[in-house]
Amino acid sequence: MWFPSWFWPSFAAPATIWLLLFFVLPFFVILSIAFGRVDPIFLTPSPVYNPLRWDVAPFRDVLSQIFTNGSVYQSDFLHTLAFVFVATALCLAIGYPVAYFIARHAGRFRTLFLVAFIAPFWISYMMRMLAWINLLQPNGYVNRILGGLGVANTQTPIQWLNGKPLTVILGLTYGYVPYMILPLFGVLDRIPSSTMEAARDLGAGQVTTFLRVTLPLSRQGILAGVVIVSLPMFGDYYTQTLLAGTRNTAMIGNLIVSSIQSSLVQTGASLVLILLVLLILPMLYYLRATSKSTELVAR
Amino acid sequence: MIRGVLARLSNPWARARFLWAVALAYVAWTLLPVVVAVLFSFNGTRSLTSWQGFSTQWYAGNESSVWQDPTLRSALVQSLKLAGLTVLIAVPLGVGFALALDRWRGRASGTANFLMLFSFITPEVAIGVALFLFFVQLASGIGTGFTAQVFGLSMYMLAYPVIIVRARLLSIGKEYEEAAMDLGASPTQALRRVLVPLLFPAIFASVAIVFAASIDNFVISQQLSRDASTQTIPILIYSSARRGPLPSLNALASLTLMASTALIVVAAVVYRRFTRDERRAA
Amino acid sequence: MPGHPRDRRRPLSRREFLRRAGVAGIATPSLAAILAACAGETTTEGGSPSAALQLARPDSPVTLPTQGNPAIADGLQPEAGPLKILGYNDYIRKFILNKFSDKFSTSVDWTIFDTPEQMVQMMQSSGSNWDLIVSVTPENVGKLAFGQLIQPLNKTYLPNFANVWDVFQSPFYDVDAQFTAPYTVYTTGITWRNDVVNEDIPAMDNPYDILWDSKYAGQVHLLNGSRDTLAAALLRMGSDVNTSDPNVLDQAKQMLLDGVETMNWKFDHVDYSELGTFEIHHTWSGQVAYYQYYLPKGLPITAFSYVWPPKAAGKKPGIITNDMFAIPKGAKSPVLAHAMIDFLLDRSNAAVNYAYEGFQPPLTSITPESILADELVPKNLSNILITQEDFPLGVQELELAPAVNQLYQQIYQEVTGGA
Repeated sequence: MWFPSWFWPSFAAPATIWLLLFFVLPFFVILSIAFGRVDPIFLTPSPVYNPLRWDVAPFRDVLSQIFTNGSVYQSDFLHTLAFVFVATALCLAIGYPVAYFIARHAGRFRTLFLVAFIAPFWISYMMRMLAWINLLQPNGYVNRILGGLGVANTQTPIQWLNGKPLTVILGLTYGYVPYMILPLFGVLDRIPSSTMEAARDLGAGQVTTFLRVTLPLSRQGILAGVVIVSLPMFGDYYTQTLLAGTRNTAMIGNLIVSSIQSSLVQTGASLVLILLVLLILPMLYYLRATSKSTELVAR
Repeated sequence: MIRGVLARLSNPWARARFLWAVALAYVAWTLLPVVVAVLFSFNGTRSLTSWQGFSTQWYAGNESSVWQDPTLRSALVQSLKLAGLTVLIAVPLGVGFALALDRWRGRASGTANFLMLFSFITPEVAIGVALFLFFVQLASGIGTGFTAQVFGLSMYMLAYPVIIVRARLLSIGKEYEEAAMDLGASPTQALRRVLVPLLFPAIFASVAIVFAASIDNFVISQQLSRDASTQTIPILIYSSARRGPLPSLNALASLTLMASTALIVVAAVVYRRFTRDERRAA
Repeated sequence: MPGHPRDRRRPLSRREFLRRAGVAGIATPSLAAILAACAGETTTEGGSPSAALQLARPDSPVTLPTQGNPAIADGLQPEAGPLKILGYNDYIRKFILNKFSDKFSTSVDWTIFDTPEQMVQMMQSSGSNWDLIVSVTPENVGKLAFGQLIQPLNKTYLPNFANVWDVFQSPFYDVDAQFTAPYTVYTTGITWRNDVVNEDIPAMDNPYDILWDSKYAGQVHLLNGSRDTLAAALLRMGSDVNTSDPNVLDQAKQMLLDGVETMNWKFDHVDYSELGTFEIHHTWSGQVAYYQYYLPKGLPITAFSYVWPPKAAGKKPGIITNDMFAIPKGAKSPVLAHAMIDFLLDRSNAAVNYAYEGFQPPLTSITPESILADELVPKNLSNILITQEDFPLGVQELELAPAVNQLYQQIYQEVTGGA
């Protein structure tokens, strides 16, 4: 209005250039490597930057491997899907009551609880995992407490870290549950008490109120939380390496990283593409939902 | 306070007793492991599973302490350098981007916004590997290393300031600037003397969050790390966790925890103070 | 604040959405093409190989090419440093590193790699970043030298080179030892906790069977790295560890996949967190002695035993090989790197290093008698000692053709799942 038409867009230029250079272009390199050639002697990738000369055969090979029964690609994908599903469900099961509590019942202690639940966001993820590695050692506190409670046998301590899927799932849940609580809290906080009181006035019991009023109203938050938690979990590889480190618990991220670190770089690039294709629908759904809501508020 | 909480828990008629128990159990589950880790950074021996007396040797004193072991010191310095530079790049770029998105009505703004959100939700391993291949194959003049880490991380952190500042812009609205210009200020003056001060709490919050997130970043920093000199604290923890870690590692992590906590607390206090007037008026 | 429904701007329609995505997608190839043109077509470090890769074998030795890859000049002064080493974790004793730093008024930077293929990858992406590799094995020397990723040594800086065993003065994989100097020799065998495992492993017909024994499921570790992991299966089958026969490799792969199911192996060379709990480990001979410094309280080193199958009852095949130093091409402190190599070829430094690392240095003055006399290894592990006469008893992992090498790595990836 008061500024020349190029004024505001120029503010966006540096960030856009940054994104083009370091986000879009790297993914183009991935495409160029996945569909490129490989040096026959040193097995290093030879990226092909001209889309017209791309060769999809190696990519199709990797894709077909995923559908081959018993191949490691298939098993890693299945592990990942299973872990993400169970861990996300656990995050929801734990996060919902906590978010509900902070939103509606914390009263005087609300700020304190908010701080307690925000804390994990700035406590280093690695440090939290390191803490668990120490607690889960055969002679660590977890086994000691379990032994003291009489639940576990102290003679043969439970080997938590020798490749148990349970440990990995619990680790993922521990790491990501704060991300579930945030959107849930946001949405539960916004339900006015008058709505809940109205339901009570109309004769609904506690459970009915929850199922027919609270739950539907918090649906957006649940969906947002599930997406925010599961998307990063799909790419997680370090939690598994720290807490287990065997083939039976390996995830897609492990395959990708180990491919890049050996002579199988082209395979790694193909796997990245497959991962993105797998996640593209939830990602786009999330993007669409957020742009809809921000443009809604912008009006 | 504890007595009050316990009384509430034991009273069968108290409302939401179950929820209270769940919430307290959650807080304990979340924070206790970290508390134990910080505690063991003060352990008298090198054990990480049995407590043997209090000592600050792992902070300074032991030859493998944070102060004396050059690997640990270098990781601390690298983390701070990387986080600092990332903030210096990501925050101004992000703030500018948010301003543009708010004011610009063109078609292309939607594309730029789309791109930014996309960078926010793509799994980090995909971005990390893409950046690694980018710097090794295409931008091989730069290659992996500190410069690559700064470029990659600042891109990944762009979304935070954009989201925070944009939310703040939406709640400010255009009234203040319009009022200033009605009173005779030129557009640039209105921008500089009205809008920017109003944005200050959001900018400060962005700095704090980008800094805390950068210190904690693992995947991108590790993929773009060249050698021991570009190792940050999360990278060091990860590679040491299975190689006979010492309590000095806990000490290093505790130090960053204290620094991040202090930063977040200061940011929260500043934010509340600056928006105090607005909240009072609302 | 939700406004009146009619005020609401049209929500993002699908067409609009796809258009925005498309715009972003078209801009990129053109940008990349421009950047690629500016960067030239170079991809990774190293020059183009002038000669094709030759695979060294004991009966067909290879002279590595030095065309266009000269060694450093004579008589230069050591640089200021720091000396940047690319090596296995903790592979030179810290005490020795400190002694070296004090002597040359410099510091040492250590970057860790975990498997030989990782080392090759790192060398290919930024090799000149480091000054010394600790260490390279015979199966990778060829590709590093032919790819001009390492530089020839200048023996005028290595007076102690005369101390090494005769067999390394001109080994088959590097005739005249132009590029490498030996660091350690070791065998690959089976380590076990003799207080927990009651089997008499050396008396077994095929000791490798114990690695697949489901009685010890969850308590067995195998070595990581494509060659060593596959070697466990190939040696158990009695096949050639350098085979390129796809049928044999397929059999080995199946054997490993079956094993992973029942045994849930971990793949590593030392897992400190499990040191008190693993029961059987396919290891290198040096590690067993190395453990003595990392044992949990109450566990003595005498609880560990080692066997090298060629010297056991069944006389099954086993690997015996050596690690070498190499200096990357373009290293910033090559004189310092030479100095470190010479430092470790010195008898007293080597002995002090050996007492900690457990990997034997192939120096003529360090004989099994002197090792036992100086108590450089724990007494119950005296069978990790090696002499030149042991080499014919074992097999070595040798360089493979690139396509075969890739096959090994693919199988390795299949078996470990990337973990």
